[in-house]
Amino acid sequence: MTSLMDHPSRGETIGYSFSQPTAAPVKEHSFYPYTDNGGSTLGITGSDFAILAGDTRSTSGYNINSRMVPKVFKIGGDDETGEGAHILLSVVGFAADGNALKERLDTVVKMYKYQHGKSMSVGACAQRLSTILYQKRFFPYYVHAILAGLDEEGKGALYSYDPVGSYEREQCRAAGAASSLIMPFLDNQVNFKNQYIPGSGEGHALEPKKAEPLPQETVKQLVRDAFTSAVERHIEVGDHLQVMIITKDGVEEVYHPLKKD
Amino acid sequence: MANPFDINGGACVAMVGKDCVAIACDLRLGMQSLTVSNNFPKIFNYAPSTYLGLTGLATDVNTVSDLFRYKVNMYRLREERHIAPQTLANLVSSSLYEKRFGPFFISPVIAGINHTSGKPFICGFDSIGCIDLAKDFIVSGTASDQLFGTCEGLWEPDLSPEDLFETISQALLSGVDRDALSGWGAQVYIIEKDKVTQRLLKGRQD
Amino acid sequence: MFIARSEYGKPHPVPPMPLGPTTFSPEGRLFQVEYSLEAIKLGSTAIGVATSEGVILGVEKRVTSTLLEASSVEKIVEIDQHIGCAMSGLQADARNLVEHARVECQNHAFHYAEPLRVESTTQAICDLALRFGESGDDEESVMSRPFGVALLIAGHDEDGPQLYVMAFEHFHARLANLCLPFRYHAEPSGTFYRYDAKAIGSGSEGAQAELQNEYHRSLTLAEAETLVLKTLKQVMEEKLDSKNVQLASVTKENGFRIYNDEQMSQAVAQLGGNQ
Repeated sequence: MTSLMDHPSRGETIGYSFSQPTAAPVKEHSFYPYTDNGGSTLGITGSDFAILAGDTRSTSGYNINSRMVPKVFKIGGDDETGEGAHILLSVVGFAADGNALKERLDTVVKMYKYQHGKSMSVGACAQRLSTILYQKRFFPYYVHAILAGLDEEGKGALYSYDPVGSYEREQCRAAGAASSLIMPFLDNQVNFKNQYIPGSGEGHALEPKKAEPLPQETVKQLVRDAFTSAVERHIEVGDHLQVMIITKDGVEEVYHPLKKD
Repeated sequence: MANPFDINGGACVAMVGKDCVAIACDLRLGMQSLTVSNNFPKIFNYAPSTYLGLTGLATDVNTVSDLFRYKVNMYRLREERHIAPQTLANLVSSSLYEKRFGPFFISPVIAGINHTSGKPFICGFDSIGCIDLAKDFIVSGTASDQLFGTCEGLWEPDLSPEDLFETISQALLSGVDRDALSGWGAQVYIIEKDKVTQRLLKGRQD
Repeated sequence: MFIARSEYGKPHPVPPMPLGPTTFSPEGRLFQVEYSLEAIKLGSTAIGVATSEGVILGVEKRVTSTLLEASSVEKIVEIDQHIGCAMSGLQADARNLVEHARVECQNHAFHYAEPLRVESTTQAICDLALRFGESGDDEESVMSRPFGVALLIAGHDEDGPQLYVMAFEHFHARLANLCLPFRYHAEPSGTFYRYDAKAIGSGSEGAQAELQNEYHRSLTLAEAETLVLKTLKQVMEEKLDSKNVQLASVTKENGFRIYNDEQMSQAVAQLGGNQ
């Protein structure tokens, strides 16, 4: 009986065409759980190395939050410094999600070693990162991730992701705010798109220049050029350039200055 | 509704070299994602070494190019001389500003050599006529982000006409290949003091 | 039976301890575990032999009736493309463990785009095998008793061909060797060992002795096949034929392959020819 008495009377629940709404209009409060923290990342592979780079500026809107927030991380290292890591991850987009993703993948890679008694291969890590991202298909990590390392044959390996885990192995990839500026430049300079061998023929007989792995010094210079160009034209990119190079000897990390305007 | 600047697609770029300038555009005309034509040039000639590139809404590209043909013809008849690129720039600027509150949906680019001074000249505009004077290059169209990246990466000062052609072509082709709304071949003009070379580039047909 | 003294020294009866499957007896034994051993001892003989070329598994089928369809006796099963498993004991229990192992393998392949290692698969089975007794708060349901089955797990991965054995017998083997009490708590993840050649089930003692004599590291896969059949023949009560035994192999090239009727007939015929 009590439950019946608690019910509102019929008049209140049925809306007649002539009845006026009595309740005060509900104030709309919305919380948007994502922020775009700007910045750009870039990865290129060679025959025996992979480079992952990113600027260190963090923005929200037209504000600069910080000039030193790294976007490239060592995954599965033995200590806080990441010593002993053989996989690199860069994340660009929403920095909080990027950090959460990095921490999670780092844990997974460490647990894998404990459980299976061997280091995780980049290929396995690539698939795992995809499933991690897809598990949050309807509340995604708002990031573009790039994973780098050396494959089973010792060749540079690079995997790029969309926010929900779709991924592909590539020779080079730019992500983030200035990706649309950097990517066509990389197509041209790394994969030699639209370049032909001079004198190889007329018209359609002209042979396209084949893409082949570039030497490390060339790639380093391309990375720096790509970023100085991006800094020039994109306001969310700048301050410092963080570059990580992974080879069979381990990971080398260097910082270069970028324009701070 | 879709942004009027992005409905038809298209890209244009101008570059400065040593005693020469270059201007290039793609050839695509589309309606959103549907390609309607692969022969829609966006560069128009108004004097022996003065060129205007127009990207944006195709109907406005046609209207504005015709409008300037009319205005430049009137200029030449009255002044009895060819219009200089700088003069065309000011004409474009004032003409666009007249439509301050109902603008043409276009992004013009000018490239030319001033025959009095012999100096190369390039500039760009927003849709209401604000002039963007640049010493290196000007980009416009749906692939402008990509073109900023390729031009900033490939351009260097004092390029010879041959090198300028290679640079602007690589910049345009690589740029439009990363834009779904531009491409389908390209047209390039290399403008020297008393010589203009026009080339057609095949590029990717997708 | 159990008497304890209260702090006032006045004896009062303590109710008999509920002897759950994970409760030690006053002598320090776990009866349920020992009973599970008995179940395995009753099981049909299963043999595994590892060589550098691959692993051979063999089981006796115990065709108890002429009316029994021999092909319906399934004592060797696939866990994944690269892992197979032979069982001895309660087959129903084995199905639980095998199903668990299959899920773990598929899960790993889904997450990591690579096959699960043989050792990790074995570990996964042992994890489940030790989850008996009273269920914890966060566990939904576990077995109330230990599994009454032993498994031979044969597989091939980046470390080459491997043979593992999952059986509670190892707890006892360790007890005998180390003269230590049961050490479940010290090895809560389960116990398994890797063997070059191993027999389990009712005929295991005789079979293991035979394997001990005949095994050497340079065995070929064909020789291992013969050794398995020969050993089974010695310990089986029935006369060995192509219907009452089952063979399977795991190799790098072909992964896990169960022998079909033709291959079984061929293998058995070859055994006859060799002797």
